[in-house]
Amino acid sequence: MSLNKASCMLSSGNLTIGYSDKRRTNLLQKNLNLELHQGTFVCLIGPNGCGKSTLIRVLGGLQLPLAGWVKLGENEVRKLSGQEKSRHISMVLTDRSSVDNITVEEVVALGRYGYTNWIGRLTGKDQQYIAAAIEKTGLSGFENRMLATLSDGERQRTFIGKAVASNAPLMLLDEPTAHLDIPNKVEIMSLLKSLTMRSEHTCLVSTHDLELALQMADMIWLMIPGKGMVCLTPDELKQRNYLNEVFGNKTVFFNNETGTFNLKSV
Amino acid sequence: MKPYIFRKSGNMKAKNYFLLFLVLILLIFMLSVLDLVLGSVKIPLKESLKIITGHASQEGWSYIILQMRLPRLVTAIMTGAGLAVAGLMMQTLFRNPLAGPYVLGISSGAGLGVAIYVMALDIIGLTGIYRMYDLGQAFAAIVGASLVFILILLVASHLRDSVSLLIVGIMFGSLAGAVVNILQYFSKPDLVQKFVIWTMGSLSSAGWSQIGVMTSFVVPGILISVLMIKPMNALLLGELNAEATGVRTNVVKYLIITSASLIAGALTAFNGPVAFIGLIVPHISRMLFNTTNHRILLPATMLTGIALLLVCDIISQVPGRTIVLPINAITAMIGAPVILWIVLGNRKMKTSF
Repeated sequence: MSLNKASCMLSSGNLTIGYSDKRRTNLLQKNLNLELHQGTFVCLIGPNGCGKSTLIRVLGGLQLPLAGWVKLGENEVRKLSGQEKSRHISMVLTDRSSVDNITVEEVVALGRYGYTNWIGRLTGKDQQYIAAAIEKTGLSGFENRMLATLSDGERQRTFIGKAVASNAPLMLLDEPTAHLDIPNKVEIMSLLKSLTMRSEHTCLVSTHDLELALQMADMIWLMIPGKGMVCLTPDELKQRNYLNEVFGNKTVFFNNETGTFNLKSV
Repeated sequence: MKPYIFRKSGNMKAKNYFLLFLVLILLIFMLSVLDLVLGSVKIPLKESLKIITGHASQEGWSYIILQMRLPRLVTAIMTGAGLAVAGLMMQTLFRNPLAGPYVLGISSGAGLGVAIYVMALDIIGLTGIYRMYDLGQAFAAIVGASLVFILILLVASHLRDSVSLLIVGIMFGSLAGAVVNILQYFSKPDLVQKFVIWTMGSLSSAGWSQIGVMTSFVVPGILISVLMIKPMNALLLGELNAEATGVRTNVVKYLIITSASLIAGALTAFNGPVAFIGLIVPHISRMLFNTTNHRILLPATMLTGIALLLVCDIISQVPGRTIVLPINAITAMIGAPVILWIVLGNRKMKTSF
């Protein structure tokens, strides 16, 4: 694969991720050498517990790697200040510990955190970004709704709106389609895809919706438990029958022709 | 189809906020005048105002107003604002509607600090330190408060639900109380009595010099809380989300601990524990102003806290009688029903926060 150095947005080298405390180390993945290219829509897939969420957190600088480095452009992510990070990387996480008594607009406005002054005053420019983000994510009319009153899909769009409002070139999203029904899943994925189509953002999305990912992603990062990562286009992935090796089992197999999972006849 | 609006909110305009703030300020002004005028000795309103504005009046009345009622008023204002802000910071930090300096044992920690300071020093016969008595008492309370706060924070990282955190707080409070009991057992009767009266809470035990000490801790604490407005708004989304938004959550946590311990510690050192103000005032402010934005909520909480504590203080003076009830009893009598109303009422805890 030819790599254009100039368009490489996020890269990692010899990256080892996992958890360690005094008693033991739980190694999830090691020696990951990744490159995320500008303006691409990349889906991170893999079985439960292989380290997708951990990778997202490490790439976004929320958690330190056990070894190796992550660079945003030329700079190491761990050395960025809070403000620099919030201006360049936006994240949508699975953490649901948010209070419910906060409006959609207030959440989206927090996307401007890296730009506002010490008390969080929004300038006219900030307001423009917020309004644009609300419009792009289809949240018009929801501005004053409380988080508690939203459906899961609307809630997810709100947090994506916050990421869009930050105007950070890199968006890292951890399972934004979890708990959604199929129309909502498609809607969220198309929304993210459209954000990268205009080359405003680069998206790395972890997801369990393989069929959707295969249809929409420019690139698939397939994480194999304990065995590293395969980075290929959806077509290449199908040709090499990787999905069957990773996800197939006694009852289910991946049909490379239709791009869907099928039950094995008993 | 029109969306089902579960709770109207967030659409309050700046004008409404301004009006509410104005009403609160006027209310505080009226309550302050009432607080000065009412008391066991009847002093006419005209004379009281004359004394405050620096005109001569009957000497006894001057003394009562300037050396007794005015310090009490200043103490009440500082305590109301301070405890309410401490409560707000703790509720946001833990994202827990039941957090507050009294419930989580911060006040008990301060009490333990004071008890150790007053009684232990007496047991080992260190009386020379008494020259710095007030300052030492404040320091002891702040150290006690911050120790309990840090312990709770350590435990809280393993707990997710409100109830467990609450139980931990109550347990820390009981532990601190047990240590105080043991200390009392070995102390002289006059010190024990002094401490028991202290635990009832009183806004009138601080004179001007103590108020000076109190101010030098509470004001920096409140200034820190003002600097925390922006990060606290991000903390509403949860710690991990806040970190991803650009908040240095570890730094912010310790600044909030410092601020809340300075405020709750210094206030508890001189007034004794004052229950429920830190717990209920943030809820009342959220309901009044219908927002969780700390830029509005922080000043709103301060003003609401002042107003509520002034009401409690006026009640505790039992206008027309010569008795003064312990302030801690009055705040609990008002606070407990409010909490019950919040828990049992149709607005659930989860959504009221």
